[in-house]
Amino acid sequence: MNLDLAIVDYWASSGRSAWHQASAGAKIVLVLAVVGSAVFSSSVAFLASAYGLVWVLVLASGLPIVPVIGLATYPALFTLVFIASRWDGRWETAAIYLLRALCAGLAAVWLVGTTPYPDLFAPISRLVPRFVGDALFLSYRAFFTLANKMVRLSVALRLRGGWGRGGAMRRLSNLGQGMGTLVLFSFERSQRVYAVMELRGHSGRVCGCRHWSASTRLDWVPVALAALIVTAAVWTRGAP
Amino acid sequence: MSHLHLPDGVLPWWLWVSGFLVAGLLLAIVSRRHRNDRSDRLALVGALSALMLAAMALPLGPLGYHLSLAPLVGMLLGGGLAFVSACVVNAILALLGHGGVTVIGLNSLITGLAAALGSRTYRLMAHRARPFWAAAMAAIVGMVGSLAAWLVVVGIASSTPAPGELIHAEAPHDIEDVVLPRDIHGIVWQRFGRLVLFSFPFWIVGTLAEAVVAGGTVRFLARVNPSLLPAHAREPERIGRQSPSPSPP
Repeated sequence: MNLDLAIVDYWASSGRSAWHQASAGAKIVLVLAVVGSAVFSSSVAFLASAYGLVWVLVLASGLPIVPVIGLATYPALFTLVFIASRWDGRWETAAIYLLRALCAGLAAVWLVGTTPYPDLFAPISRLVPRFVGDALFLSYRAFFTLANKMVRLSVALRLRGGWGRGGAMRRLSNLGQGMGTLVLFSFERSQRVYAVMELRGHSGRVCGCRHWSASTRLDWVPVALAALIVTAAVWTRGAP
Repeated sequence: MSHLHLPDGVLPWWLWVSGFLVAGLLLAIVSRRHRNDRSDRLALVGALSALMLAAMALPLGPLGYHLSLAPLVGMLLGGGLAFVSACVVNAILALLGHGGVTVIGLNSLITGLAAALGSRTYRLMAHRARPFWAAAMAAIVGMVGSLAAWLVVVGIASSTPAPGELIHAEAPHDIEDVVLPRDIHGIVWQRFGRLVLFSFPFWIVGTLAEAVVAGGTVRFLARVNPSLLPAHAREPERIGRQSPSPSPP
């Protein structure tokens, strides 16, 4: 995964395309339509078309192509294990499994690449218990600090010989001790965050943001595309 | 990749829908149980979930091999809160194409089981073994449990017909054209066996890595700040390892 989350977060907050301006709610509807249609469809033609359509969305959003290809092909690694185990001599079966995973994965990457996380998490936090929704926000906020610490830890381990000497077990044990410093940091950080929350009058919910549902002039486009995709999926049901 | 995330589109719909329902139910129970906790517990869940994500950002070899830290987080937070962490981490990962969107529930149950078993085993082992070995054993038990759950899920997936088979089965041809194999049990076991064969070497390496890292982390915490370890799992310093006190004259 490397630091993909930080990169994608940068795309979402710095992008200026029309898709970045569209409301999170409309884009979530579109992505749910793509993912739902993909996992229920067994038509290679439909899945290939839907995958092509999501690529058009990615290109229209101005997301950098090479990193997106890296992220979007990641699900293929996992899917190949399943394809190999279920290999029945038909390429159609392999193509269906692969396209389903690629289509859903690319749609998710497009969504997070065009939607800032407060807008993306706000509707999700409405669907899950409050404790979980708040944990989602706090985890995302804490990730960037901890990821930087993790990179520094990795560099420090290499520079001080903790990663190069000894066998694999020795290296992993050193990594574990390094991880211990990050656990300590996490505990201290949680105490600081708690103090800040108390100071700011934490009311029991981390984000009451409603920006995600604020409709824009462009919202009809993702909703219309969602309807088109679902109709096409139903239409091509049973087709090769 | 000590855990193999399930991607979208490989499982029957009723299985991933059930995963969402069970995970949702567990989340509701855990949230209700912890609704009166101080906000620092919430902040801690956030910080340790972020640590799980950050640990996954550290590649340990080819193919993006990385740790999950689920058993370790289970030892530090307890099974319930660690399950919340697992859900949060899997939801964020799914948005990056790392594990499917439709299988967030199942992936969270599998990861959460590793955390819950790790937590329980660590509490049992902490008084009986040194911190490193107690944590390493707990991580191994957690990973074995999550592997068992993963095998159940993929076993069910193996027993369902592939999309190509369904197309042929639904085609309005003679019953002889139905491609569903007659020896369905043999085929299921063949598929299942292949899946285990492909994933088992990765799992072995991942489990060992998870165990050693968890052991190293807990050993460090036991030395530096034992108060961070679960209260009833803490143990006093071993007297046998200290230098013997001089006998009185």
